[in-house]
Amino acid sequence: MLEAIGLAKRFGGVEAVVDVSLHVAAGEVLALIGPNGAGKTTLFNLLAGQVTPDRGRVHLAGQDVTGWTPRALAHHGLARSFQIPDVFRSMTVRENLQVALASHADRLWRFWSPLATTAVAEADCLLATAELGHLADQAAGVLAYGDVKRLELALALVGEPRVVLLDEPTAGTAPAERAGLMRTAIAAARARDAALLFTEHDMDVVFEHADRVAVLDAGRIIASGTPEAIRADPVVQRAYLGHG
Amino acid sequence: MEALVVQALTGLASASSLFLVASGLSLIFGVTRVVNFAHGSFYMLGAYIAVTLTGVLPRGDPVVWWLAIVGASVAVGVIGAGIEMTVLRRIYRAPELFQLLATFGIVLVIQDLALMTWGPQDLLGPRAPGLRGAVDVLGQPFPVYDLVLIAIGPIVLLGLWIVVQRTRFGMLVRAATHDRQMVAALGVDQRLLFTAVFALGSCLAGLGGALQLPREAVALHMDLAIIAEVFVVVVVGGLGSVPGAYLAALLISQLHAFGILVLPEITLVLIFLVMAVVLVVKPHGLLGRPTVHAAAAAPTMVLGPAPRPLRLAALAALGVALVLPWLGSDHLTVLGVDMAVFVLFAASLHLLMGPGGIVSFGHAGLFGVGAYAVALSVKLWAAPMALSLSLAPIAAGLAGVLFGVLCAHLSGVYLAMLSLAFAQILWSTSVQWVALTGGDNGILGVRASGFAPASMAFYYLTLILCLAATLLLRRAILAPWGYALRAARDAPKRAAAIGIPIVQIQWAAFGLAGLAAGLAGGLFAYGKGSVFPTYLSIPKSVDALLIVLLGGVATLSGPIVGAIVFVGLEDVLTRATELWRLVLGLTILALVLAFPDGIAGAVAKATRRA
Repeated sequence: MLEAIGLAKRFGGVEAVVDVSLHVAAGEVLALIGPNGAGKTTLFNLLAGQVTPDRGRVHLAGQDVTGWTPRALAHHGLARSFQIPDVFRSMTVRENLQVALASHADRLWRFWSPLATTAVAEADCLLATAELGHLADQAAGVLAYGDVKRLELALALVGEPRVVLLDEPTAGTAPAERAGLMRTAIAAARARDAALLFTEHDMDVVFEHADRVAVLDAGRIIASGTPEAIRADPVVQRAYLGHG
Repeated sequence: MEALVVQALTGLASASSLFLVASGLSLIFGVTRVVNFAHGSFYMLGAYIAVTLTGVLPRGDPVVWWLAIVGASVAVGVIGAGIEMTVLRRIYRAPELFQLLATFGIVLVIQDLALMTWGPQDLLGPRAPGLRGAVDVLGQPFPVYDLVLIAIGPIVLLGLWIVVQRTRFGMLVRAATHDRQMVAALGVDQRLLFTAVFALGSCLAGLGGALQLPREAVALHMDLAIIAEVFVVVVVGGLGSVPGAYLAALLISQLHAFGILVLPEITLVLIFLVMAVVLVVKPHGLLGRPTVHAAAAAPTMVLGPAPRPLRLAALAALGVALVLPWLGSDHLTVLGVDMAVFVLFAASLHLLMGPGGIVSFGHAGLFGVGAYAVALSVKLWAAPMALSLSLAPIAAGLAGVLFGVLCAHLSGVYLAMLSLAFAQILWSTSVQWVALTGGDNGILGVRASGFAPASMAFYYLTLILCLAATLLLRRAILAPWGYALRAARDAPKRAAAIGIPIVQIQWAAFGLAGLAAGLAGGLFAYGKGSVFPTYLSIPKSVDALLIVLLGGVATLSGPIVGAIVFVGLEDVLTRATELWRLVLGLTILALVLAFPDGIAGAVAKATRRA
């Protein structure tokens, strides 16, 4: 569903991402792990159009989408969350989803019918999926951190995406909350037959939930395979231990 | 050839005084992030105090004269420090615009205090002893004093450079200019640093003013006359960059000096055009560097239904509005028209500032386009009211879109400054294209039969149009489009990632704001029966900003409440006291210090708490 071929990006003298190729199929869950500074977020930004690659191609649903803007990619079925939560703080939780739904349905150029009556049922359905129903009328700016992460997830599920990229979906949340959040995300992606790619620092979460794991170190993929194979891989162990 | 050299030298002399004022503003902005409108007032104070000092001290001695100039400059520095400690220090955490509002309050207060102290007539100071004559430059006489001024610019530049690059104070200034939070994190006493920088900046402005003594008469309009040009210099040079300010001062002064020779009608337009071009090509000015912005932590309120007291007040206001012309007072009817027009004008600016998060310093430009569209269509084609009142919003709407296309890639202060330049281009055109616009004399006789300014028919027409347009704007803000606009303001990256076409949505906001402001301007033209360049001027833009900020950016009712309070207050004050500027200025300062969320915001907060 999503395929990267030989992606590379350099910032000044730093090679952030070097010849990265990867592939996620529909309904598959791929975890991207690697030490801090390995280039995970840059890779996400390359895939989602926030950053344009120096070399390499990105294919989404069989189409070459290299260099597309985030907006065009969003309308082509790519959704993402951000590592540092970035929600619409001046709106309620439901309004966050309503405006995203209106955007996907190409209904933003409406100046008359109020948003309050737009896509209420769909919004509430997504809120239920993300277990946020009880907070629908809360201002997004005053949510607890874990709930902001849930809202990010709900926003990434708007518009039946083909590919969902989650950048550290559980970072900063309580350990007890992490497994639940991840299970919710994976169930939602599977239910939509979407390809799910996520980064994560919590190895328990990664090994429990991913179908496959890719390991990024210093901008390169050094290993890729099933959780069991990755756990046993000496190269991975060296990379992690080496970086202490 | 000789004339050109002399003209270039005159330009250099002007550049020096412009640089002195601009470097102070640039330093202050760099460190405190306050766009100090009162900087022109410091310049004016420098000139007035120098007049007084040179008058009191014995005449004819060059040393005494220069001591008086330096004394005036130091006195302004002390005044600046005093203002920083009593007013600005309390509002550094407030939103940028509240600081701007506060400094405009200071402008008004200083204007009236200067009027009380020095009187309304222009004052002439003594020329510099020993520097009265002229020297021969290529056969042309050139004032010696101007040669001295030419030297002072680079000397001050060098002095500032040494202070900024070679001292601990300068290191802190540079650090704060680049990343304010970092300095705080390093444990520097920010209060002292800010006060010192403000004092230094004011001192430079005062010096610039005092040095003008031999060149021009000292008058009460000096403050706003220079501030627009200084803003241009600071922005073209790059905010926070002192060498940039010098470079820009040279550029602007030479443009002025030679523009007068070549195209006297468009010198003003030319200057603001240069600024617009620089900002479009180099968004941070010639030598400016992008600064690390502190994350906007100000909580933004969720829009909801107006609280009960506000709704009751709105109903009461509507009731009063409906019966107002039956009270039989022409004055009240005209006041009602003004209020309705300003409600719409402010609502249109609020659309940009509130949901859009786009701060326009030049909103009067769009208002004025509407007013001039009406006046010109009446003057040139004797257009009937229905036609001219349709042309006004269309013209201003197009101007708004054009403006949006030019500046949608900018943000924050730079966008505000480009919008200022945009309005100033229109203002200069209205002043200098005398054949079409009548220049400062304006266009008179903007009338439609049956709709005299104080007539009931015109009153109700205005009320209905303004009310309807304001409600339409409100409707758009609550529609998906308005939410998309807010989404782009709240989290631009996220907005793009969910597929919102941010730029186009913002262009539409400029267009809609233009439509509304243009209609307001057109009605205002009929209401006054004439149009003048003041409709496009900075004070008019500031009026709109004041109203929106007084009312509160975060609420939909804010601009409405703000407009009614502001127009009413201004009317009462101008009739009650000669010193209305002083009272208005102090009121603004009190309001800013007491209600950082605006009036409507404070009411909303109070009712929510209850």
